[in-house]
Amino acid sequence: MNFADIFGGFFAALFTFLIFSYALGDNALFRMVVHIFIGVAAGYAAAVALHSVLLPAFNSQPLSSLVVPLLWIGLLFTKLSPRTAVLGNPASALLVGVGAAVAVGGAIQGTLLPQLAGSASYFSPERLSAAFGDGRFGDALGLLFNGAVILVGTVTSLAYFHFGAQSRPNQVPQRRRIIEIIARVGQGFIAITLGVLFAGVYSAALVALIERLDSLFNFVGRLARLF
Amino acid sequence: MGYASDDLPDWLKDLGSSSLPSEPEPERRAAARAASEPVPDWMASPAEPPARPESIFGDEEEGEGDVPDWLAGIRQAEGRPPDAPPPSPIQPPAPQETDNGDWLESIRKRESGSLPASDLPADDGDFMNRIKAMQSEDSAGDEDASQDWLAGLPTPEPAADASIFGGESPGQPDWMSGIQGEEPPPIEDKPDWLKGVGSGIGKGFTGDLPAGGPAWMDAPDAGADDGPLWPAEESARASEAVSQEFPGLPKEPAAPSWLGDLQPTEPSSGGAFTASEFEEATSEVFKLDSGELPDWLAQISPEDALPPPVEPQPAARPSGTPFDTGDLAPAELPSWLQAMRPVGPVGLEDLPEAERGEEERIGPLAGLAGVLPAEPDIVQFGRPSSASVGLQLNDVQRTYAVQLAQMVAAEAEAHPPRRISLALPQRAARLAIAILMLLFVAAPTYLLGNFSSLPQGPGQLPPAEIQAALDIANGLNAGDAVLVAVDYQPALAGEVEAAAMGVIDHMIIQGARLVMLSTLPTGPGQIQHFMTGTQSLNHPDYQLNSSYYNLGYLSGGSAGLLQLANDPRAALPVQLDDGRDVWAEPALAALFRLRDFKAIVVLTDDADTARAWVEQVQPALVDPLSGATTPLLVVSSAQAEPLLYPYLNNEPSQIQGLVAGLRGAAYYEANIRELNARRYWDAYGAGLTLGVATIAVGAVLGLSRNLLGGRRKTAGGRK
Repeated sequence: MNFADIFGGFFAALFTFLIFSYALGDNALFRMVVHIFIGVAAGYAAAVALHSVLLPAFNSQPLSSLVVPLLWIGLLFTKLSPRTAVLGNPASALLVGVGAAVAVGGAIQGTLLPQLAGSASYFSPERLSAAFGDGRFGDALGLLFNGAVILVGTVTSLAYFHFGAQSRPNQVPQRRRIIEIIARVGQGFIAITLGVLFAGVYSAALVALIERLDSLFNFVGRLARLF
Repeated sequence: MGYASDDLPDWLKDLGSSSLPSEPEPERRAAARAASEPVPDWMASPAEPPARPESIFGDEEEGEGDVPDWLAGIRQAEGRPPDAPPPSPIQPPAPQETDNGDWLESIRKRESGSLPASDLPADDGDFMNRIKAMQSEDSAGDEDASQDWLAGLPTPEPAADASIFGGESPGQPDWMSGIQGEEPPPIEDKPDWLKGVGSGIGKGFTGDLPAGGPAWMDAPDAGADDGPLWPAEESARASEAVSQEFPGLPKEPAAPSWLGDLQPTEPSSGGAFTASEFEEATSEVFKLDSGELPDWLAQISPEDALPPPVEPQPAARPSGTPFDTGDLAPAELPSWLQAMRPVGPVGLEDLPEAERGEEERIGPLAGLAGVLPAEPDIVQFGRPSSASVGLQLNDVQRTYAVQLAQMVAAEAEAHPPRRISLALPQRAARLAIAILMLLFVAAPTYLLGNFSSLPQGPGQLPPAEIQAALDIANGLNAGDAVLVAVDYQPALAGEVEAAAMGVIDHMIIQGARLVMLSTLPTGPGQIQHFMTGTQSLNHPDYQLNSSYYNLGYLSGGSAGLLQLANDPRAALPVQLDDGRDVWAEPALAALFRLRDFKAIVVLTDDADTARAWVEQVQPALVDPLSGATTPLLVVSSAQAEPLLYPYLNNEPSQIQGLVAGLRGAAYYEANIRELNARRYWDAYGAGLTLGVATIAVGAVLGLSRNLLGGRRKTAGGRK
């Protein structure tokens, strides 16, 4: 255990305790540590961008091929001043447009269409006939049940976000009765999903807490072994 | 002041009733007042001319009946016929001794009728033409005496002075005619040079002018147009005297315009109230019987009532009246009069340089000299104060304006951040939960030891996604390249690293060469921390750039992932510290596409990051020819697990293996060897138990409070 390990371990333990002080309420020490973390992360990100992106690009490509990228970079730097920010709009538009096109294309081809096909596959006659043909009735019913749950959950969850209402004289506009019932079912599915997500968040936070306590005990144990 | 008729004496009553029965009251009073008082000299000139038109011999048309008896007696005593007009109390001015002095004699002859009209000069009525004709002759002789300062004087009308001829301007009001007809008071101490000026200009002069006027009237226009009113020496001397006595006195300006307007514009024969007319008017007023007169009035003879004849006095020369300077001897003016003498306009070019002043250089007066200098106290430099225009507001509008101003001011005020104050029980409960959590998490790990078993017991199969991950790792051979994406934030590094430790350890055991990258800027640091802090402890020989490679940060987000899927070498042009290309390393030399990797492992704490990998990279993992798919294994945090199951359970599956959270790691380590998941598992179980218990207790407390509150409300409603 060298000095760097001791120095790093000490500040890690100190900052961990200061973060734990939030249990007593919001305080200046907690905010100070948060600000330190944000600043360190930003500085580290800038250094990584320079070291891992810009310098390798300058070293690996001829200067003539960097004229256009450098021009775009210069236009993005004009965003620093409100007076010249308009000059950076083309570069920003290029980034946003390319990013949106890539994200939308990937979402359609990688998520929407495959998920539609996967949800519909539970009701695929081929799969059901194969299951029933092999005598695996349980598997077949399981497919139907899973498919039904997915279908009901998808439809009812979408119905929950249907806010169309029919206006009546001297009454508050309300959704149709059938929509209201379907939305109630969808609200149940949404509640279950959020509960699962909360359980996952709690589980992740609990493991992070355990890892922090484990690191603290390890540091104290290593320090104890030194003395 | 009014008097009753009874208060008047009898003689006055009769006077008022019999003498002027038809006259208006104001005129009658004026006439009585004029008769009762001695007529002063200035009254010799009529102040109120009669309304009827009359000529300069106005009384020659009166009839016999209009002459009172006493006046007829007076005329008889003088040897004149009763119808002859009485002599004017104001004698015409004495003519100057000129070469043309016989014109007055012709007037007398005409008046007496001895001279027939045919003997009069043919141009008797147009004598002004003759004057103008003589003007041209005299102007040549007087041209030398003319001075420039007279050029600025207003040009008078030729011989149109009504004060001389008793004329009346048609456009003038009555009071102006009175002014013009008023005789100036005699000046006793006037100088000699003034005595000869205007002696023949009497207001009561009603005679006709002869064809050849006196010498002083020879050039009326010449004096107005060309000739000087005063000699040049006189003017200079007067100016000098003025400047000496009154150094600060400004130069006397030219005659004002209003003074020129007072001068008559054309000669007129009527309008002047002559003395004879005044006498006639007064005689009518006092046409009384002698028997009715009181004693004191009866003793007064008509001669006594008449004002004494006015000696002709040389009047002051009116402005613009010419005179013959050759007949007047120059006299010395007293100093006070010299100071009052008019000074003609003097051009700036005639002034010395010092008096002309500096030439104006700026402003609208630029180029002019002698301009009054601007004084700093008066001139305001800078922008003038803007005039404020006040709005007229009523009370309602003013109230609205005040409210609007208050609203704007309230919006501009910076409010301090609101401090959240918690009630003491709530704060105490939170602190108690924190302490319990620390105890429940720390105690099982370091105090109680491994008191719980892993989720997978001996002989049990792991979940399908864990089994798929195990199969992927088991399928690796020594030297197979595996692409590992470290895409998690440092905050959740403890969980993700605990979940990935078993998987990475398994792959290292299998002899795979890990090629690691990150789509997050903090990823390269996480790679180094993960490999040196965990794996190096178990595999000391597994070193950087020999066993595994850190390609660093892949920029561009989804676009970077797409480029990585299409051309990994172009997406990550990384050089080692010695300058060698990382893609030229023996372990990576055969890698040109992502399908060339044996497996793709994504370590992430975010479902969106995993989805981006699935959307952008997973399609590139499928060989279009053979249909073989490079497995995509996701090691994620527990919070992203529910959102990754649709990709895992899809048909065909987009994720071939999933190890999520500490639970997945525990399953995985149960099939390989126990690592950190085992160490954390007891604390994890205790923390989950405490969390569930806390939620359960909170739910019970909340439900109880709601039930109690509902009962209280019900009880309150019944009461």
